[in-house]
Amino acid sequence: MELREFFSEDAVKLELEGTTKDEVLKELISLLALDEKAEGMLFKMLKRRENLGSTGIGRGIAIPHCRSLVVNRLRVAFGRKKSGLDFKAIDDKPVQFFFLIVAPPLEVSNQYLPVLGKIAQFSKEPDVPERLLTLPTPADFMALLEEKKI
Amino acid sequence: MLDAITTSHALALALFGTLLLLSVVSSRAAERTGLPLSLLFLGVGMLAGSEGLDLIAFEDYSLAYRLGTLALVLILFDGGLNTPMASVRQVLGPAGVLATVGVLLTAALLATGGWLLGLPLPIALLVGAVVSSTDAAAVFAVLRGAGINLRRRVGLTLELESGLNDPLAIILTLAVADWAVRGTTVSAMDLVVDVIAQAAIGGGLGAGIGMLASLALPRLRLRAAGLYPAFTLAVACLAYAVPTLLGASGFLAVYLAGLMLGNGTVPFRTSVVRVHDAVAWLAQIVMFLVLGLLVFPSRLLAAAPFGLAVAALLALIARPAAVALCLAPFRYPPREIGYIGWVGLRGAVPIILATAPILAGVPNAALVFDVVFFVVVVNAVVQGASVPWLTRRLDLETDDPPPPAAVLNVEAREAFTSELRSFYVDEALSIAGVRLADLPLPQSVSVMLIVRERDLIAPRGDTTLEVGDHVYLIAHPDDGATVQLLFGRAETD
Repeated sequence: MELREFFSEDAVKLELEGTTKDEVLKELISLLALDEKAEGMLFKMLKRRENLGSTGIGRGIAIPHCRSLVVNRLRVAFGRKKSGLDFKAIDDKPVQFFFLIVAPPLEVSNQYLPVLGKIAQFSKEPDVPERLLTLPTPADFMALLEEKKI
Repeated sequence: MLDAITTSHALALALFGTLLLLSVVSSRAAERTGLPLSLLFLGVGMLAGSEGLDLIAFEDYSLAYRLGTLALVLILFDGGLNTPMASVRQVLGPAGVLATVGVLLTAALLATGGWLLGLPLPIALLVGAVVSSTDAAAVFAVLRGAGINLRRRVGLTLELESGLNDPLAIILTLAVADWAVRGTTVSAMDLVVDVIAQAAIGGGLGAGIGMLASLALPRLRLRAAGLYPAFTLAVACLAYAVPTLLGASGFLAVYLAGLMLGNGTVPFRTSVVRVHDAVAWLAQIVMFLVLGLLVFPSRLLAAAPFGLAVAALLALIARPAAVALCLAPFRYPPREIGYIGWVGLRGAVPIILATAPILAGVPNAALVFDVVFFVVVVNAVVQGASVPWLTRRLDLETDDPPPPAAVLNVEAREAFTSELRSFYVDEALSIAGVRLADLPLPQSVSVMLIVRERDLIAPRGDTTLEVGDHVYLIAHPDDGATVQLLFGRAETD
């Protein structure tokens, strides 16, 4: 199974408006189209994970993730903020690209960690940050995933 | 003749050993009563003193000051050695302002209050300067005794503030004592310039000595592991002595030298740090015993009215106001500001500093010593005892995991590229409840050991990571990002 299969264009936002870590997390959550209560629960869980050590893995990329009862299958979203944001990333540099992953607590298909590993692997590709920065449309994001075949 | 010397020496050692033993054993009592340890050590000293069991007659302020200085050098160096640079970066702004502007504001407010209460101006200024520094170790000892973990940022702020503010309080006290003896020849402006110059030169020299030592240490290739702590102790002495001889702040220097050294490569790190921890404990006990011996309870009664008034002024007005002003630009929630304002406990530094005016020959300086002693004790009893209750009441306990029941580390002379680190398995981590074989670990990363409550578990592919586990990993720094993504922050970070 490839990364491309987990994403959809409506869960991709190339101009994130939030200016703080919390605002951006909420904006990413909103891409999953959940109800307000579910959004609140998800936000709390993501914050808790971030408090254990930032998911900013360097090169301008962060992968906030958690398990939560509010989804019944693995959900992912992508957001970009060209000007960057302080996310306490491991390299102390601003984060521009955010991959959100939310998995249900009990997962029959066991996709959570493989998807997390694949996104981390995708992020390590030398040209990925530059390519993500210049994507004109969500369709191009999907095309990039397709091209990388990870 | 030789017999007499041997006997008297053995008697002195027996007395010292007994007092040391009493102090160490009393640390258990501190855990149960919630009183700061320092207070119990002080109590043991007072008990042995001339107005207690009269075992030791001691009124040598000069010796007390020398011992106190040596103890502070060892304690400050140990504090620096154990402070990770990442923590410094996180709270340097607020802690730095508290340690400079905060110290000056607290001192000024207290001095004004003391003067309004009827203390002579030089005495009021000295009391203000002497009690302006805080002691985070006292706060942490109380919290540890009560089994409470303080929220990370609040704890770090208090800790770094107390590491950084001793030097300024010391500079300020010595400058005011100098002024009090020589009269009004020094202007306020000169005093400020002097303080800044002492701190800047001391800080620069300390950081420089620490960096040099940090570069030299891994290259020395000493024959015995025990020689490394001897080297670092020598660095601590030099880091204090060189700047002091040049007229700069040796205390700031010794703290920064410890910080630089601790954040570099230290061969046999665990053993070196443990030696310094032990030496710092010993220094603390001896220092409080000596200060306890120096106190005459009968004289304290005379200083009680001023002492109580100054203690109340410090706790209710000077410290809270200074903290509120200093932290205003840093977006701390009001309850954290209130907490930091209340729990700025005073420790040994003020009592040692209070001997300085006596040694400098300031008229009526014994009053400073008695008032300060009173303030420190009241502060430790009242504020110290309220720390656990207040921490819970303001909901400032952290969710940080408990430390593992067993600790694994690599002791080596050389520095290795890969590192052994431990991680706590929190339920919010993606790896909780996952089999080791299913972890997407990079090639360089390997799970070495799992500490699960009282069990040591040998990791196998079908071992499942459970919430509450402490996992030890060997990883190459290049894979640090993936490790943090999966396991979160290492427990030692």
